[in-house]
Amino acid sequence: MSGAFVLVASYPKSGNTWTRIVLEKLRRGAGRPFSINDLDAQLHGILRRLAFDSWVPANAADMVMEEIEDFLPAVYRRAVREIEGHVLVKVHDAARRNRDGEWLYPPDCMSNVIYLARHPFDVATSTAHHLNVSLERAVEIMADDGSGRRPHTTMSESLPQVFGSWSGNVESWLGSDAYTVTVARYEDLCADAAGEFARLARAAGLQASTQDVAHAVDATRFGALQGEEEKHGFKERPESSSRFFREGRPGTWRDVLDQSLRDRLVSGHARAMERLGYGADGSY
Amino acid sequence: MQSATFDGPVPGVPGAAIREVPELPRHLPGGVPVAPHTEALPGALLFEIPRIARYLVRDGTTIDVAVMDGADRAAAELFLLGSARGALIHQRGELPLNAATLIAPNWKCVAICCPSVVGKSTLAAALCRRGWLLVADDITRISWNGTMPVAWPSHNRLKLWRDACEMLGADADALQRVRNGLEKYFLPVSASATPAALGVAVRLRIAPQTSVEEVPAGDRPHLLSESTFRPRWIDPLGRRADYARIVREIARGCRAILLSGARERPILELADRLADAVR
Repeated sequence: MSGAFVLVASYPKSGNTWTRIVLEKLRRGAGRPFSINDLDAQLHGILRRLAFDSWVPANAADMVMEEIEDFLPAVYRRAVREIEGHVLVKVHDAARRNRDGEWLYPPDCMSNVIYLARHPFDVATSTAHHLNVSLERAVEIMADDGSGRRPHTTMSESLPQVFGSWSGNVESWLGSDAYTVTVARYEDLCADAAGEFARLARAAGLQASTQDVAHAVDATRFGALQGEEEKHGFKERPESSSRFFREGRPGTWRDVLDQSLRDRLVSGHARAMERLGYGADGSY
Repeated sequence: MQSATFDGPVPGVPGAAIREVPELPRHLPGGVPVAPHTEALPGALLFEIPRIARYLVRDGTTIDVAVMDGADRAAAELFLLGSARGALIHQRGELPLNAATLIAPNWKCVAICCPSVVGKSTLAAALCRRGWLLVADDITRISWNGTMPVAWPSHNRLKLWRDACEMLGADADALQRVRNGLEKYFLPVSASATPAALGVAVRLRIAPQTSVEEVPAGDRPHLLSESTFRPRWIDPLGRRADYARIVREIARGCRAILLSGARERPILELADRLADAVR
């Protein structure tokens, strides 16, 4: 093996894109121009689908999900032979195994997993905007163990992913002893971006000086990302959302998420919240 | 197909045969791994879709298929008429093109080439609604007759997801499902029964805006290469020289155009632009 994947894993709307932008900027090196639309999807989205179809004897479009999952570990083992160094891969799947008991993301191809978490109150608020659904629906989605499971009425550009519930996603990665996991909370990234991204850069195997990290953080401040999206668009924005970079700060749930929905989130995800230091009052 | 056994001819490849056999070996003696559950050597390719079937494709003439106990036979048939047939076409030194191929009302034969995610079958269905005739879907066999590229007829139905059926006004519930577990259906369409001289290869591309560009002659081989079914199998099958030759010949014998706008523009708009481009 000449390289390894670094999984940047998270439940959706937890800072995955921002993190990959900062780390990708560090990976490419200071001074090199970088656009949010240059973010290399690698084995995510349509590229994962195309890689699958080119390496597997039959097309994903003719397979049911279990068959696709039978082949996925082999696809990653094949893909890792073609990369150099550490390559970031975005993942919203929960950590899980296929029906043969193999991890979908083979641990022997992964140097590290960076797991990003965000307070579920903010995840609910952001999910509602992202999918253009009510807050109540967003809370339901976060409680659904099969969340992300495609209804198979259409083949999307990407292969199916199963996020699981919010807490199921958290527990699957943090509770697995198959991977080396570095956890980062979105709130901490916002509070101490330079310190936290320096830590994540080390976890991703990147050689970056304090100055490099400070520069990358400065160039990817939320306002800058919003400005670029406004000017040039962002290819990862879903059709359901008017903009991807909406409100990059903790606490967006205040004045929006009512007490009954907060109670449902707390009762449904108590253990994972406690594990991550997230309070029932929204504290972190 | 869906008969008691899969025994019979290979669609679009006269003289080639499918035989259903009770079992096939797990490995191909002397073969090299070319993909997960796939081994090849010159003249033979063996692959397996776990829990469905194993396929042995030999000499460009025979496909043996062993369906596993309890497997969905409709699924076994999909992979038989897809990947196994594609391997057989490679073995013959011909071109298996990832394309839905049709004959336009002006009798021009047009291959819409792209990976399976881009929407060629949906576009083909929209064109069939306008009087075009289907030649082949998914994988089109293209041979060279010494003078021109020839597209061989193999399909009289298109595989469409439920969403695409609804978009085209077809009642998915009245159609045959392609296999269990997928909301994907066979839409019967008017089809051509005879081979046709391929006139235009159209590469369908995902893009925000619709546009049509003529591909210069020197770039046509690249367009055909990126639209080839499983190019990684060519070397292990020992067909590199044949492949290079047929791609060169086909590139010389037909026009090629790039049609942008797939997945992001309405399908009827794409159909209009394509119809104009090949008029």
